[in-house]
Amino acid sequence: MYGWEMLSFNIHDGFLEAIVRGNRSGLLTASDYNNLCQCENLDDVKMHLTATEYGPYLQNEPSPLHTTTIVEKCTLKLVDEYKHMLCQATEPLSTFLQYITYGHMIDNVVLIVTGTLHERDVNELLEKCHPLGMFDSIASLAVAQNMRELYRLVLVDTPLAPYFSECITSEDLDDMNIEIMRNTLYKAYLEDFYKFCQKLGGATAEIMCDLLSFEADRRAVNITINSIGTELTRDDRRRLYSNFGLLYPYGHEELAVCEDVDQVRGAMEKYPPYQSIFAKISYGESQMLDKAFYEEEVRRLCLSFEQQFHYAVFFAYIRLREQEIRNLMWISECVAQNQKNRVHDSVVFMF
Amino acid sequence: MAAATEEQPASTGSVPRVEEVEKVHETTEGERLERDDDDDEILRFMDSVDGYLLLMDSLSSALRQGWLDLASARHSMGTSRVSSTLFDHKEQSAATKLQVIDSADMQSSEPNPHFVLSKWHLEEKPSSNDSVSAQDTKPTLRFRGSATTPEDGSHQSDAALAESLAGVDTSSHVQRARSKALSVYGALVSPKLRTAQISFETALEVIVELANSRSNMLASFSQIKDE
Repeated sequence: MYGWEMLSFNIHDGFLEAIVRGNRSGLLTASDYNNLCQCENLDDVKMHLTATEYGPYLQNEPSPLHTTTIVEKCTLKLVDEYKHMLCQATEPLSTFLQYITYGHMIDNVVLIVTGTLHERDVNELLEKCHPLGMFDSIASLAVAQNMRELYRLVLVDTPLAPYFSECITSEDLDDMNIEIMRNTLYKAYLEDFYKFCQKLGGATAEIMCDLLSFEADRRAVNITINSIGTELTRDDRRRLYSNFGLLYPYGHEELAVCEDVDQVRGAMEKYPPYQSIFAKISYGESQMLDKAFYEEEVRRLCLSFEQQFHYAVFFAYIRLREQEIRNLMWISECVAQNQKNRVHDSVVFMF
Repeated sequence: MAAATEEQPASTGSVPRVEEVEKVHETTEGERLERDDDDDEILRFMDSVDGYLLLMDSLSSALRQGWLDLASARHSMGTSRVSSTLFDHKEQSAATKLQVIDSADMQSSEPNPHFVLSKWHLEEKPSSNDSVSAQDTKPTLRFRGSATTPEDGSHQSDAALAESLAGVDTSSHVQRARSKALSVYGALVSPKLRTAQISFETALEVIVELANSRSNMLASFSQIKDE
């Protein structure tokens, strides 16, 4: 359609697109969520999930269940599906699929470094790492004292190496430096992924650039709100924003000087796609902002399935599964804490 | 003289009767006062039980809100960013301390311990949230209104200014201490995690109030039992 993908896409990637569309039909529906929201305890939740595609992963778990167990087992299903697709993918789809996991890799690196700073056992930290973000030398991260060592000893041989050029310093790793490192790496990763998608061209570039721009804008808003009242300076905050997206560059200039949520609202309401998001929340409140952003993200991800012959469906499927796991985590927590009246605060329905 | 002598026993005979009557009156009065004291004591005890139950309810709702806010923060930031794996195992001094004061000068047979919470390295200063200070040995009835009377108007403005400056200094110190406590989860955390922190802080204050209330309740109960 855009770049004549209809002629050549199915040669290499048709099978996997069919696989991912089949997997997409296994996502939980509204009636599944309604059943789950009425459960009395976590064993009921497990019983309902056993009737879904999560059944084989949960059926052998002993009682009493914990919410973290449900999240871990559901994540294992996502990992298995991802690995199945990755091992059958050819270039450039295989590189595209690997890009999707770099965010988790960054989170794992930060988890290991932070945990080591707090004198935690490395094996305990490795158990908590996201399986999609694992790499061979991850355990060696514990020996690094500063970012230069982190890069030189471990990360130089990983896909994250190109992202370290902006944050290599000899400063010791402390909580603020680690946070800046996390956000700087993520910024570099998003920009790299954006450029890669642009190079792919066609429908993939069109849809993925929109999705990644939304991701960059959402990150900018979250960084702004989370840094209100902290020691992060305005310049440091501005440096953490990505160099693309709807808010770049004028929206970023306004966000960098915001001191409260209402000022953030004032900066964002100038952009029509975000007016509807902020219309859902009241003044001075930021609790429901996350849900509003997740709903908008899910809407865009679902729309990507309306077109064929592009890679964005793979990205959308992984993200929708992650949203589903977040939904299950929230429902499990509300059921476990006997607060079912709050269950609809954070559940986002799909399709 | 004999008549005077005869008169004395007569008058002496009437005095014991008056004394007896007076004694009866005194005894009745004493019993009435004692009954009033008992009633007061029982009323105080019932009042303290009521206050205790209200505090339990308040604690339950603070904890429920805190746990839900924590789950909400985990939902927002990700399960790997908010977990017990990130707790700091390095040696560090306690940010919040609890002082137990055994009131040795209490009248009751059992000691009535009193608890004072000192949050975020602040000086020990029993706040209005803590129930009875060590100086108020007798448990008092609850008052519906507050009665504050400034003693000297001329020093009020200086004292108020000093107090407000101290208050600003204290609140910024508290803010820094709160951020430091949350830094185990990262320097940029979700507002939901901060809300959870406030909820648990409130719950901690209520627990200390509960302990003081329970201490007073038990003291009242033991007084009633003795009587």
